[in-house]
Amino acid sequence: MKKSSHINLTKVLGTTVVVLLVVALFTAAMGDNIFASAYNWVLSPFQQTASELTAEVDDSLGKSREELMEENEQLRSEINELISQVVDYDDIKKENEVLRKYYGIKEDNPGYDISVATVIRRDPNDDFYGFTIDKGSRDDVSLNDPVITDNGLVGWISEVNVTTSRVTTLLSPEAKVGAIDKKTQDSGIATGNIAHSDDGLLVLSVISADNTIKEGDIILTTGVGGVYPANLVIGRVTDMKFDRYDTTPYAVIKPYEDLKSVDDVVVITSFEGQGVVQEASDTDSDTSTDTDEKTDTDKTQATDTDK
Amino acid sequence: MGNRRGYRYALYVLEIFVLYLIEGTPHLLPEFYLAKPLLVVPVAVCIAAFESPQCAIGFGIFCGIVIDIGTGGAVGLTSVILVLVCCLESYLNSKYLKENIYMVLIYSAVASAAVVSLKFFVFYIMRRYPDALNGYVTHYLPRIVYTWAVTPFVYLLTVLVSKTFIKDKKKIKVKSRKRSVQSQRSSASRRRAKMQDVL
Repeated sequence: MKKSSHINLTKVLGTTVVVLLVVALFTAAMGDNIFASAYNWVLSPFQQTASELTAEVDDSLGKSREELMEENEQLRSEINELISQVVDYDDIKKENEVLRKYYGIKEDNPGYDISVATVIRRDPNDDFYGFTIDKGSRDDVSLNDPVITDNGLVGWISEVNVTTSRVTTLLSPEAKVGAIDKKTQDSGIATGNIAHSDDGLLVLSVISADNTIKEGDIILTTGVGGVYPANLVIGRVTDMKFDRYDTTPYAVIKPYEDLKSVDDVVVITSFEGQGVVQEASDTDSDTSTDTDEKTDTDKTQATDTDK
Repeated sequence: MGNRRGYRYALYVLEIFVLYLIEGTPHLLPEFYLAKPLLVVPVAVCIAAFESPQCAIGFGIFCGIVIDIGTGGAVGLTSVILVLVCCLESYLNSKYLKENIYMVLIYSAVASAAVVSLKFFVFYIMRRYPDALNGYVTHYLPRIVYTWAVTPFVYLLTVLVSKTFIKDKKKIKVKSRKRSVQSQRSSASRRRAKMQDVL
């Protein structure tokens, strides 16, 4: 028994020595020592912390126990104060970033009264990516107020509570926004449908058959219905298609803002011309000019003309 | 016992609110074919599995209201469905069947399909949106499947709540049963000893 255990021990010892020699020869021959790199990569954080601790200990070695305790208390209170400042700093910084973003809107449109809001909930039952924001009637938010970001129109307020509001996005078929092509001046109605909403796209429908809308054109709001301000960016045209049932043309619009995942928005609580239905120009009389409505989707009612 | 039931109900309410918050928090839950689950529906079904029909009705109403408030629009339609399903489940469990996860899964499938289909009917068909069939297949069916799929996790959570406050009652019953068995044994052994003495 003793002999066998002695032999086993010898074998283990011998194997270990041989392995170590081989590893030593191997690492000596290699220019780039992978084992040292791995070792340093794993242990360097610990080494760093240890060195900082020892530096602190060196500093404090010359002090008495009472002095150290007093210093400890002082440092604790300083740390607590700094922590609360850091938390406040992060909040203020975030708010500052958001407000900076929307300062441009206010500067460009002094007639707007705006309220900055955050998305707090997205209902899983909503197919068109509607969401709830943290502003309500006590923040002067009203029904049908437009909701925008610095990238353009997002939707409108479809339900108002005291402290929160629900926003329906432009991806919903309920959206019917009077829109115009900035370049060609072709007008239509920007709305959503389930076929395109998954990709975050809208359609510009009720456009004339002889339109000259092209890919890349920017689509803006007309502001005629009095619900949305004029010249708000909706998106850009990505494709021109024909309806499969009645072959009428429509344009596919990609909003500049990702309506499916927006986090911060601005509610325009009032603007010049809100609630005032403007008269359309003569060239646009055959298209919908009074269509900033959020009623049921009904193609026969979509093209209300004001004359 | 009254306190225990009160704590249990309070925890159920807390569970419902927490899951409601989780389901609505942006960027939290992963999507399944662009759908997210309705976590409150399986909660109602799981609670009904452990409680009386009256309690199941109450929580069915409550969960339905929570769902309807979150969705917006009319409040109460979802409650109707949940009340029917939960009451039926609780009644059958109390009279004929034993509560188990397989039955809960069946009820959850029925409730998920009914609630989501109701939403489809009210928010899609009645509003005459186009491409209804496409919408149902691409949006509502995945929602039903996902809602049903999270039922086991919700069941485990609900079991934790309900069993925590029922365990004590069972322990008392077991203890008293043990005591009665022990006393019977001791009296039997005394009788045997007497018989032996006589013999």
